[in-house]
Amino acid sequence: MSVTFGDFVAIRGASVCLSGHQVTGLAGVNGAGKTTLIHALMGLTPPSAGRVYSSNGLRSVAYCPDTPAFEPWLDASEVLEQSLAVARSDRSVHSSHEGRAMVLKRVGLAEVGRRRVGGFSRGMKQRLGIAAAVVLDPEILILDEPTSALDPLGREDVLGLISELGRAMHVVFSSHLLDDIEKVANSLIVLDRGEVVFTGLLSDFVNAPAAQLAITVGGDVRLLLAAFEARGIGCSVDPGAPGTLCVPESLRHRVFEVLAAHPDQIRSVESSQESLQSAFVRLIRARAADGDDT
Amino acid sequence: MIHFEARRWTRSRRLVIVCAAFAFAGMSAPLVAAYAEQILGAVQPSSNVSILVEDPTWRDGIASYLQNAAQLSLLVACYVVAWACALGSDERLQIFYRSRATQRWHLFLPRLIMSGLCVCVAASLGGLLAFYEVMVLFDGNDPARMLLVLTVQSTGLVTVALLAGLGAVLTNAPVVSALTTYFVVFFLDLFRDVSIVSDWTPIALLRPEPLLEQSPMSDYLRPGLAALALLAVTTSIALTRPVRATPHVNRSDR
Repeated sequence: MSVTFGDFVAIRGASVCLSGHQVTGLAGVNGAGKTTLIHALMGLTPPSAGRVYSSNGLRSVAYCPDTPAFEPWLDASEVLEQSLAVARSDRSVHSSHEGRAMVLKRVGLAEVGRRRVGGFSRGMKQRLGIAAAVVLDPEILILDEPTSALDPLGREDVLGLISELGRAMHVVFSSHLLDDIEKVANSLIVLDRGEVVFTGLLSDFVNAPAAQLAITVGGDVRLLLAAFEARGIGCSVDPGAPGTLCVPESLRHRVFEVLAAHPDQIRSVESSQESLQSAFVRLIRARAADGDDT
Repeated sequence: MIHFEARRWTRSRRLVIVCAAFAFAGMSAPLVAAYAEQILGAVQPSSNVSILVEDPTWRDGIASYLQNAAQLSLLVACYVVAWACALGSDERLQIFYRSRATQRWHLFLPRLIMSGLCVCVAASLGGLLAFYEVMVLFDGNDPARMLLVLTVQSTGLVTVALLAGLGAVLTNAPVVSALTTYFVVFFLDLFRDVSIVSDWTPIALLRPEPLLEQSPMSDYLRPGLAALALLAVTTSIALTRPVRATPHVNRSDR
C-alpha cells in the first residue's frame, strides 16, 4: 500500500500480513507514518495504491485512535451499544447488556457505565475507546498509542488487557513507548519514513547481530583482553564500566573456551540482550546514515 | 440507530430549541395580527398621523404564522438539522463513525429520518398553537382549511430542513449548508409569484397563503412532487458514496 499527500510520499509500498492470535507492535519515530498506515488500512485515508485483503471485509478490523471521542450525551454503556449499532455487529458475543457490562469491566470502567461520557477524563476515554473497539469482537484490533493518556497504574492495566486480548485476536499496538511494546508484543513492524523496514518476530529484531555478552572481570582486564585478541575475538571495554568487557554473543563458544582458561578472572557473565529501544535506535540511525551517504 | 438519533435530539436539547422556535411563531404571530391596530397605534409617530388598519380576519392570523414560520423558525430548523446530520468538525468523532460504518446510508439515514420527524413535531406544535389562538381570537373560522394550510406548510418546512441536512451530509459543513439552503429559499421566495417558481419548487409549500383563499389543493401537487424528486435525488447522491477510502476485499474473493 502507498499513500501520498501531494508530492509527499507518506507510505511507500508497505505490505504487512496480520494473522493468528498475537500482539504486534507497530514502532516508528514521529512522522514515520504509523497513523497514516493505520488510517489507510481502515479506509480513513485514501491510498494512492493498494488494497486490504481480509476474511470478513471491513468488519474484521476494529480501531481505537490515540484520543478517542464520543457523543457527550451518551453514557459509557450506550457508547458500546452505539459502536455495535454503527458497525451493525448484532451478532457480536458482546451485543447483550451483560456482554457490554463485561467489556466495561475488563477495561476498568464498570463503576461508571451509566455516567455520561462528556465528563470523562482523557484516560477514561482511552479505556472506553478500547472497550468500544473490543465490543465489536474483531479479528484484528488496531490500537494507536493506547497508553499515551494513562497513569502508570492504568498503563499496566491496559498492557495486561492487550496481552489478554492477544490470546483471542490479533492486536496491533502502535506506541512511541518501546518498553510497552517489548512487554506485550510477540511480533513487530517497524516503519521508517513511510517504509516498512522490519516485520517479523520481536525476538528476531532484538537478537540481531549486535547482541553481546558482558563479562565482568575480577582481576586485570588487560589479561583477558589480550587472551580474546589472541583467539581473534574482537572485544571492547564497556566505557560506562571499565571492569566489563563486551564480546559478540555470536562467538559465545570461542568466548567460553577463553573464559574456561581464566576462571579466576571472571566475576559474572551476562547475556546483554539488546533492548528493543537500542535495537530500534541502531536500525533507524543506520538507515539515516545510509540515507545521508546516498 | 434511530433510538440513538432520538437521544441526540432530546439529550442535546435540539428538539427543545426547534420546538421553541416554532412555538414562539405560533404564539406571537396570530396575536400580532389580531392586535396590529393597537400595536401600530401605540407606536404612531404623532397624534396628527393616524394609521388605518383593516379589521383582521382568521386568514390574517394564519398568514402571519405562515410568514413567521417560514422565516426565523425555518432558519433555526435548518441550522439545527444541519448540525444533527453532519459528522461534525471533531475529527476524532468522525473516526468513531467512519471506522465502524460499512454503508453510508446506515450512518446518515437515521439522522435524516429523526431530523425530519423532529421538525415535523416542532412545526406541528407551532401550527397547533397558531390554530388555537386563531380559533380563540377570530370569528368565522374555517378549521378544516386552517389545518390543511398548516399541514401543507409543515411538509414544506420538513422538506427544506431535510435539504439543509442533506447538504451537511454531503459537505460536513453544517453552517454553510444551513445558510445556503435558507438563502436559496429566501431568494426564491422573492419570486414566488413567478409561475415556474410557484409551480415547480417547494417554495409554494412553504407559503401556501393562496390556499386560505379557497385555491384548489391540486395547485400544490406539482410543488409536492418537485419536493419529493429533489429529496430523492439529493438523498441518493448523499447516501450512496462509499464510506471508506480503501478497498477491502474478502480473502475468499481474492
